[in-house]
Amino acid sequence: MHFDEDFIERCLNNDSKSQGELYRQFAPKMFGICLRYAKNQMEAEDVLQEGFIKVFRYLKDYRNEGSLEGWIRRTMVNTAINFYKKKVKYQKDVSLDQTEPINNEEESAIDKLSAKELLVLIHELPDGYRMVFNLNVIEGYTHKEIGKMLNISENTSKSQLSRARGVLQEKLKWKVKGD
Amino acid sequence: MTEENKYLDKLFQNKFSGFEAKPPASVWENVHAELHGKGGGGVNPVNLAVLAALVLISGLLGFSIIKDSPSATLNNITIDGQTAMLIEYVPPASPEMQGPAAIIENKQRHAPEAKPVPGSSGTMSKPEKTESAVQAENVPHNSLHDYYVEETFGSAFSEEARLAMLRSRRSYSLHTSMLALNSQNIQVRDSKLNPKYAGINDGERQYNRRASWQLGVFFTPEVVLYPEDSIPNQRSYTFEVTGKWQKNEFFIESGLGLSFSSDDGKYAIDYEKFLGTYDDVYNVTFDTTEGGTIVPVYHTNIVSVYDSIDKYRIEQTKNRYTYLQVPVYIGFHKEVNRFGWFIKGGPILSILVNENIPKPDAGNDRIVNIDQKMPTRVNASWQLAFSAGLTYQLSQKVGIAIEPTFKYYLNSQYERKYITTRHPYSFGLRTGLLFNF
Repeated sequence: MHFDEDFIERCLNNDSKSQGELYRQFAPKMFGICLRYAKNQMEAEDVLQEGFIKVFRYLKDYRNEGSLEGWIRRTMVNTAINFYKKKVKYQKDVSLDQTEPINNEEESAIDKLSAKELLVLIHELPDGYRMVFNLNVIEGYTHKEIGKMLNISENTSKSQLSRARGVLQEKLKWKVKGD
Repeated sequence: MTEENKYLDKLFQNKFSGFEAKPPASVWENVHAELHGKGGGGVNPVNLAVLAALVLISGLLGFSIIKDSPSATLNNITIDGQTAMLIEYVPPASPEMQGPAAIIENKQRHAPEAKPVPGSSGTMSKPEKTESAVQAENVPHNSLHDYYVEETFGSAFSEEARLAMLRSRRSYSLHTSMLALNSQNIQVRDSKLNPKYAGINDGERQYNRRASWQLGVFFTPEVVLYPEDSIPNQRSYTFEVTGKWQKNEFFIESGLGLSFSSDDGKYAIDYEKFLGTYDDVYNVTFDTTEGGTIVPVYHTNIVSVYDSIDKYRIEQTKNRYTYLQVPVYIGFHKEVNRFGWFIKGGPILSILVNENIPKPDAGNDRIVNIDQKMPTRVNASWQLAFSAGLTYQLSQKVGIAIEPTFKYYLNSQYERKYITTRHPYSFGLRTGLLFNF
């Protein structure tokens, strides 16, 4: 579906039908993103709701530079970051034992896991780890950018990513062993 | 980056590339409400309109039935020491009127003039007498009662048989199907046995079915279901006191109730574990003893020491809530001897008057962050309740009632942003004591 300037104008004029169309087009993909950043489904729904309210209120700032989907995605990620900043005042570290590397047998079992199963593991990460992991590994932001976004140092971002990977690796191993 | 990390990153990138999930409909509804200036959490105006229409229609229907309900003419007879009341149904006069009811009505209109009763202003009070005495006395139509019996049964039955029909204590209604006489037309009602007719004095001539009052004390265990959410079924217990005003078979009931419910709440607690204490010296002074020795005096504070690595734990809580409930029911109640059945429906307003949410107990540990895992409840909610039940009169004054109830929640008891199920429903079993006035 093409969202031209007229369509955006109608959304800006509070036209319910156009707003509904835009929401229906992008909501499933954006909810997938929100689910990765949030701690649980309830929080993801809050982020999605807040994110779309921002999208409709600040749609005038979208200047047709780049894709609309990309702009909405950035809005959602920023909303998720704001949620995280409001909620988390202290950073929590998890002590990790040295994990064994994943062997070939485990690797083939892990490959069969669905996105929903991986999502459960992501939800179990501490908030800070989850944010850094998502921003770096999935969105592709650098540690410097992440540091600015989350008001943490570059090194903290790096160490949290390292710990997030360690926790996920451990959980993946347990998951395939359990199955 | 190690091979291990590369594999992990690639795994998550691939699995989440294009990952989509369908959000619940409530998200769009909330976004829409926010953009178009409608407050969330309130009662849907459509629901309110439906509720208002239901109440209005029920009220009008009840009123019109009560208003059109015909008056009845009362007559009393005494047979074998039992006081009974003979009530004749007098339908509105109409030239098109056909059948036995019309015949009775026409005859009745002439009866008082043709057969005046001495010593009474119209009430027919027949002295107690034996069956043989009745047979021996051959005075035709010496009371309005006799007149009705004669006109109703004619010569098809002997006097003895006619009296036997009226005498039967088990029958409160005379069903004369042979004569195609509607049982509504003639009824014998015993005020001593049926409290519904208590207070109707033998001397009364005109009788309209009286409006009656009833006080009820009820207890209702209830299960509330949230089909679209992972919230477990909620249990609640309600104690209610209601007043019921009944005219003919229709009634209005209202009162006050206290409903108690609870949630299994959870706290996700980030905390620093307490490791112990040490004495922190913040000042040292020197004293001189009597022997001239100088000794240091250490001034200290006790300082707690906590683990620098945060811990995380989930703590279960039992959150308790108390609601004040105001129900308004409109219904239909039919009594047959001591038993009765009824159906009713109406709105209930629930107001949250007290909530008891225990604070997490940290002990000596230092809490860094607390995340409450249970959605918060709204201050007021509306329900539509429907029920059908049975009553049984233990005595003239006291009865019992049991009624399965169904409630449809017009708005959820939880804040909408936390929950998908906007219209939960519940099943309950209301039991109680009834006191007649």
